[in-house]
Amino acid sequence: MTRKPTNAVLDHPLRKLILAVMATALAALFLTSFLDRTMVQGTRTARTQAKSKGPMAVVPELMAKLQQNPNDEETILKLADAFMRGKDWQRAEHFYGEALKIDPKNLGALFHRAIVNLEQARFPEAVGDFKAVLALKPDAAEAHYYIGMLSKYELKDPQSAKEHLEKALALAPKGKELAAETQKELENLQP
Amino acid sequence: MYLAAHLALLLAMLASLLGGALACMEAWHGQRQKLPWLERCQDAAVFLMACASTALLGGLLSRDFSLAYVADYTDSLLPVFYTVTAFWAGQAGSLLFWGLAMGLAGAIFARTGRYKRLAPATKTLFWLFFLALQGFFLVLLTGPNNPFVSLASPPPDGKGLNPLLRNVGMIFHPPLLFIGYAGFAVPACLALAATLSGEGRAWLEAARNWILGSWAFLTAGILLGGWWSYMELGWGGYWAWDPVENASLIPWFAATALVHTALLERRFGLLPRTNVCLACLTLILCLFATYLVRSGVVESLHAFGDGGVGGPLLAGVLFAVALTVLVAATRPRRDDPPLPELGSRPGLIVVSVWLLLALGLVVLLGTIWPVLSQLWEVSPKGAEQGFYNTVCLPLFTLLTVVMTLAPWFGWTGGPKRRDVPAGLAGLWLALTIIGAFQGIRPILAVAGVSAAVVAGLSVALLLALVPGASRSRRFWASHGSHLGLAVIVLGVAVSGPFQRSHEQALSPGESFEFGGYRFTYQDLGATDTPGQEITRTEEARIAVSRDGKPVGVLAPQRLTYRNYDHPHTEVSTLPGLGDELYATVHDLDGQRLTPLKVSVNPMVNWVWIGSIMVCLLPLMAIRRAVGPTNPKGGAA
Repeated sequence: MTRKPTNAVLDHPLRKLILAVMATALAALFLTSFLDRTMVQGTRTARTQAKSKGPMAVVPELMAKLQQNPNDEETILKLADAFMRGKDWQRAEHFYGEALKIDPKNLGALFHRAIVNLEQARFPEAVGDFKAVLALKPDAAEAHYYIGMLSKYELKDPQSAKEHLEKALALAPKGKELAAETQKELENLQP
Repeated sequence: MYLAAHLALLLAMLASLLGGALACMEAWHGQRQKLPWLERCQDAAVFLMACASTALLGGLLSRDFSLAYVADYTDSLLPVFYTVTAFWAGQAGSLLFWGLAMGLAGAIFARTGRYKRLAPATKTLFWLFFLALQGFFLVLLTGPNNPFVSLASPPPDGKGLNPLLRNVGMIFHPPLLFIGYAGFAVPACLALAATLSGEGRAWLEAARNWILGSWAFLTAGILLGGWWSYMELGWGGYWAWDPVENASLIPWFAATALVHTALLERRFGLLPRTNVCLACLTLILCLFATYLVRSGVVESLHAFGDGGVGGPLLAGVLFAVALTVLVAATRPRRDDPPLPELGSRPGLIVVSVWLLLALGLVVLLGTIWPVLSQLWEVSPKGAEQGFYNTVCLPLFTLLTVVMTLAPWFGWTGGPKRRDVPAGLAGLWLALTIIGAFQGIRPILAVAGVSAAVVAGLSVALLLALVPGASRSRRFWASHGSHLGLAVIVLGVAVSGPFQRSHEQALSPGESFEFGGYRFTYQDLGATDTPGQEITRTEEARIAVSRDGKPVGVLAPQRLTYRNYDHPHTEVSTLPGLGDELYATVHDLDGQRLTPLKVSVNPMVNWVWIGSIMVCLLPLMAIRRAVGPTNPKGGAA
């Protein structure tokens, strides 16, 4: 049964407020869209174009920025990431090293430098960086996993491999890929 | 063409925002003359969104890699079927799909008899909220989530569709979810509009089919996602309490609560404010789910990562919460009828609604815990599966028991037959205690199985004792879907804790015994198809026998896709209503499987049987509007 509406949208003070809020929201949406088109979209297009040219496309801009401020840690890290994505391992290692000079406890830089070392087959250096990660974050399951894998396959140290893979298994989220991979590696580990 | 498509989206946004502004002015002045214009604005916006969608689909089918979206999600060898589904494989395309589905929902609703019976003031306010919401989506689609970004130097070929998405479950899972999300926009906007216009509970009748239909789509989407996880990810389970899985489950709890509280208001006028809040909460949680998946705040296998829409979506969610509170506050408290007594069917429905909301809150808190705990934890961790299972499974079991007993209580209080509910409750307790004394662990699984058995028995008794029940569509819609839920509980309670898995490296000719079955690795077939989408297919043939009798052959595969470095594992199953055998191959060393993983999943297919019942049976309650429509376009 339909009740006759009060037809008094303006009766309740909150109703007026709600309509005013909705009008403001509609205006804000329109303005956001307008501003996005005029101010933000240029930046977004540049980013998209950079993306289509590959990870190295941002390097000239970042290098110019670094020249203005050689201790800009954020720019150094962005450069390192760009070189890493572009598989220029030597330059990536250099810039991660520079970032670590500014902040020796930067976990991301340590972890990525370890990966860069691994990619260059510098296994002891990679293990050293992963151990530095563990010194700062003992529950980093991935670091244990990588040390375990390097010990197993490259450094031929089954004792260390077992120790680190077991720690990785204990720390890795259950049901996820890392735990399954670690379990598999542990089962295949020759004593 | 893409410029025109982008322009179409911009015009659709303008139509929505201008329509919303017009509705706001009409409501402010208490007028209703412009109502046909509001409906035309909606039709125009839908037409323009459909044009833009057609352009995107055309780009996908013609493999036009100058469009970034096409280059990111297809390649020249992707089959046409999967190319069409790439429409919703990415962030921008899926948002466009959701926007289009929502627009169509609004346009269809405007042509229904139930809409025509609404008061013009309610209709005007409905379009105010609906067009504003649609405008919000179109602002995202024309700004940070634009699907029509062209590449200055197109690649010669695209990246292709992620192999994990090449599965029938994943093809239909996202659109079903998005259609469900989109459908809930209608009841939410109706609830706000009717409350603000003072039309009372008429909105519930108008929203009835939309609530049921959207709920069915959302449920089907969630359950199909579980099936995809089981068949495609190869870890042997169907629900890992992943943040993105949870994101779609949270609105489902609110929606399920709404399905039940809406019934109470339609019949007895109970819980009017709750219904308004639940209708809005469901839509808000759908938006929040989208925020979780697209903002990068949670890490997940199938999250999209931050695409620049996280901030606007969170702002939209917060705005919607504030708006709901404001609108609910306009309803005078003196109009609210008292809560039903506990010993009645409405009372037990209220209990089940509280259980559903508690489940939703637990899953919500568990999902956003890593984000919240950043405030005081150095290295925040997400809630693990054990947490969810420990807290949620008892609540689900209790919900099944309440759901079983409720039909035996009268609508106005007291049990209709004292012997039946007492007997059912006693049987559930007895079965649980017997199972516990038999040493079956975990006890929760015993309680779950007992609850499912008692629920089945309850429906059978209702069929036998209620005259005409078997011929009643309403009976099958409500009790049939409850039976479906009980079947899911049975499947989960057995397949979860009693699943057995074994991994073993095998060379051809070797075999092992596990779970009462003998698995013999016969051979490995390898097919190279250079230049094709799948460049190499390796298939192991595992003969399975039990007590010397052949059961079947498992054929797990490893597929190497052209654009992906790592081979992709394909699960093989030997289905059954008792045990289902499940096999995957992790790695190969020549002909040797390193290792073969087999699982014996008891009664897992009951989860899918129950799922089909739960998704389809509620649709029997959908009905056409009856009674004359107001020729002047309203009930005022």
